[in-house]
Amino acid sequence: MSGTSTFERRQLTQGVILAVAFLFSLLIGMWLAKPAAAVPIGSPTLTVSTPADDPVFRDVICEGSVKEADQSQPEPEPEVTPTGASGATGETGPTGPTGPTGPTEEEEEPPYVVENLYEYEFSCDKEVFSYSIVTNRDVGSFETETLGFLPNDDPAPGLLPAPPAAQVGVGEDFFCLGGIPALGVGCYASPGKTPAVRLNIGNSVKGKISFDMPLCEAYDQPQFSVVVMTELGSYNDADQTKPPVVKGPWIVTSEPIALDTAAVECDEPLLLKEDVETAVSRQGNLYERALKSCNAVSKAKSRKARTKARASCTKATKAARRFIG
Amino acid sequence: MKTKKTLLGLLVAAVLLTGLPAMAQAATITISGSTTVAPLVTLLAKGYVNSPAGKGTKFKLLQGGSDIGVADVARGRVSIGMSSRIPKPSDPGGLVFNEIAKDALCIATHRSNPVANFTQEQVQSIFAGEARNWNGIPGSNKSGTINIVIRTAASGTQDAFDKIFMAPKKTFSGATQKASNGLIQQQLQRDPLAIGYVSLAFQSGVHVSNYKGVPCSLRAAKSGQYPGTRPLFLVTRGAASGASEQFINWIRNNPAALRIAAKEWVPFK
Repeated sequence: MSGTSTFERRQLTQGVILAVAFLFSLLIGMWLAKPAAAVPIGSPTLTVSTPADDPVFRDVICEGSVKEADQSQPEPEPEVTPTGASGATGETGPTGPTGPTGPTEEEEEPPYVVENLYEYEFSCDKEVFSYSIVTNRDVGSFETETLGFLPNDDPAPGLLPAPPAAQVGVGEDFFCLGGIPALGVGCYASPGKTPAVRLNIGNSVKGKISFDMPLCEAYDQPQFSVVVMTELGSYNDADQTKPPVVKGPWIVTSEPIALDTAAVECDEPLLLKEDVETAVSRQGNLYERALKSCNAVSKAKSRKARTKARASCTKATKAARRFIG
Repeated sequence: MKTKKTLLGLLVAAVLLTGLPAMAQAATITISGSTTVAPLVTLLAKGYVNSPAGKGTKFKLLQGGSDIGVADVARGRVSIGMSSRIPKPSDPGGLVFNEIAKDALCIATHRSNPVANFTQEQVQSIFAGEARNWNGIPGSNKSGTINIVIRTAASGTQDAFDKIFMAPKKTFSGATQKASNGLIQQQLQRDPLAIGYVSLAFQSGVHVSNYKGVPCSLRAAKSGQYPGTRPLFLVTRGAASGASEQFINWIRNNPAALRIAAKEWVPFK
């Protein structure tokens, strides 16, 4: 290589080695960051298929609300005392235990209370096979199993005359899954069963959901929506000899339907005026700092200075973006 | 020589600088399995992400039953499987069952049929289908066929019930099977002739009987008096490591975690 100095050859070699090292470390980083394989939900075979252009299933009306959940310990309800009962001597269920020794009531710690726990409820004018609750707050935890209730809001209808069989599903029961933290939760019945488990028309689903922060420590009012699946749709495989398989994305869901949040609306300004001004001012400072750092890159006179300025620019930009969110 | 050392240092630094952030971003724990353990784990996950130990950790929570959780973690589909039963010989090898709490299984009936106590012989006789009418059950005011409600085969709760209450007898094959505690609870709320079993957290609206003279209560379970308790597990493939290990250690040792578990379960310690 005539015409190139030893210094330049050395620089070229260093550059090549650095580039290879960078690519290698990038590959390692990508491999380490590989997310866990998603767990397939399952593909139950359908028994019902609805044409995508049927307008009926797209038009569903749901109503619901959100309120703060009651976590007080319920008073033990008096049970029905049977007449002529034999053998029912001694304690009844709700009274204190006999026999075992242990801590007294006064010595026990107060029970753990889930912070920022809310209850949602909704019902629809169509059967519901699955639903999602979507919100603009970070979900901390959620009830993992939710049940359907009759319209009279009685969760224990056994003491009443038994409702007609058609009014109650096989088991109006949903299993909930999702991320923590996340912006919602999804709950499904069992579409693979025959008949498919679902929430019957007019019955309500009740579930609980908690949040990492108080609802009113945010920039906007809390919002909750429910998205429901009211028909079992199909995603036809190319192989027409096999029955259609529910694979998703779900093609027969409603639009998000807003739940009534009157009970959880924030009365006071969500951020004090001073806080807003401070936030804007701080954001401005970070932005200015980022601009200054990044302008220094083009003005740097040496490679070393340019690298240093570029690193400062990246750091300052990230800080400004993190603040903005 | 100095140049080579410099280059080697740069190479190591490049690997660390790119690899470490990627490793930090990978703190997502996926969990599937027992519907009994799931309510406890969601509360623990909430507590963990808000704790200094768990900052930045994310969870993805699924269900399906203990057998599903064990199978999923064995196949590497999830980081952790939830199980409400002890290991079975048929489980895949290499799994570690990490106990995190205990739970009590309660024999329950409809509120209009408040049987005060069941002996083990009575439970076995009923759930094995030998005693078929409420007439012959001491303490019951009902007459009519006993409707037995149990969990499905994939359920760890069913497995635990078989081992704790029924062994060596087998559960009646004609029993109604339900996929969750909630569904059993719902059935017991609606059917005056039903009998089943539920976890402590699912007692609302049903009558819970004493078992062997001991009430099925959290206090009795914590004191060790109640004979129907069973351990709850987080199952890992091999010894827990990384984020999973940190989470399990936090559950077992952190006071905040123990307090969460004490809400409706018997904490690890």
